[in-house]
Amino acid sequence: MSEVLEKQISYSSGNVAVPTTDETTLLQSGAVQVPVHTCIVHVRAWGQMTSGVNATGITARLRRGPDGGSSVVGEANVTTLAAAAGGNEQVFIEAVERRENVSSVAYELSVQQAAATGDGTFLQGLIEVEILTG
Amino acid sequence: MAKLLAKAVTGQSTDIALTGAAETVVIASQRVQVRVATCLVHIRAWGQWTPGTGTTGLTARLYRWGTGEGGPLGEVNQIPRAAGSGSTETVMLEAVELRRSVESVQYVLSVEQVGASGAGSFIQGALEVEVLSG
Repeated sequence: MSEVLEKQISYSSGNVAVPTTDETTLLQSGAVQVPVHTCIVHVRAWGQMTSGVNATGITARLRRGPDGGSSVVGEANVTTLAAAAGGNEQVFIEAVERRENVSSVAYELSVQQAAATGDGTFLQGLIEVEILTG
Repeated sequence: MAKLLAKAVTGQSTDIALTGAAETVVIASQRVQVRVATCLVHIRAWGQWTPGTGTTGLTARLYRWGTGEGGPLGEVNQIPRAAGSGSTETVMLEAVELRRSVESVQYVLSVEQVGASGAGSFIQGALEVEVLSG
């Protein structure tokens, strides 16, 4: 039976600038202990941001934390803005991966504006990490 | 108070063609064991998709395993596209149901383009199944 072994949620409401088209790390989960040899990790991130001038879309990425080599988990797709540039947007992304032989895991959420000539602002968000029996 | 008894999360990052306006199963969950006589099941799905030509919206459905078994859970509603042609769109859907006298549960997510004359693509997603004490 699949069970949740560990879970961690990190929330931030401090505004963070998202410079033009730079990929910007916004949220970090911190280390989550893995008490088994092999596990399934479920990562989910949600946030709200204000897009910058001329932005047409947002790419959200989930990356393994620094000890995991910063590799992208899942896909990195540009999502078209729901509102005109300068409006508030939602960011939502999930990923699932199997990890083996690790004592802990950590993940990060980054966002990158498409075609923006002005800075965006990340307003609030959270990142969840669940460790499940694999 | 409801307790989380079991949970499974299934990720999907292989592109799946959405043919015209046909309903297509895009993620199937793992089978989750149920060790109590009555339980609540919480199903949550998220994904990203690229619309085909002429698509005006998307209808997502959650089913017990197999689209022919018991009909869709919750409501079946069309959601208009958020952006213009060539965009990447987000889909989210949740449902909760009471299950009795079952040894396990399993669910699928299907999507159906509205008004499409061309093929779209489901590009990544996740399907969560949580079994809670009922």
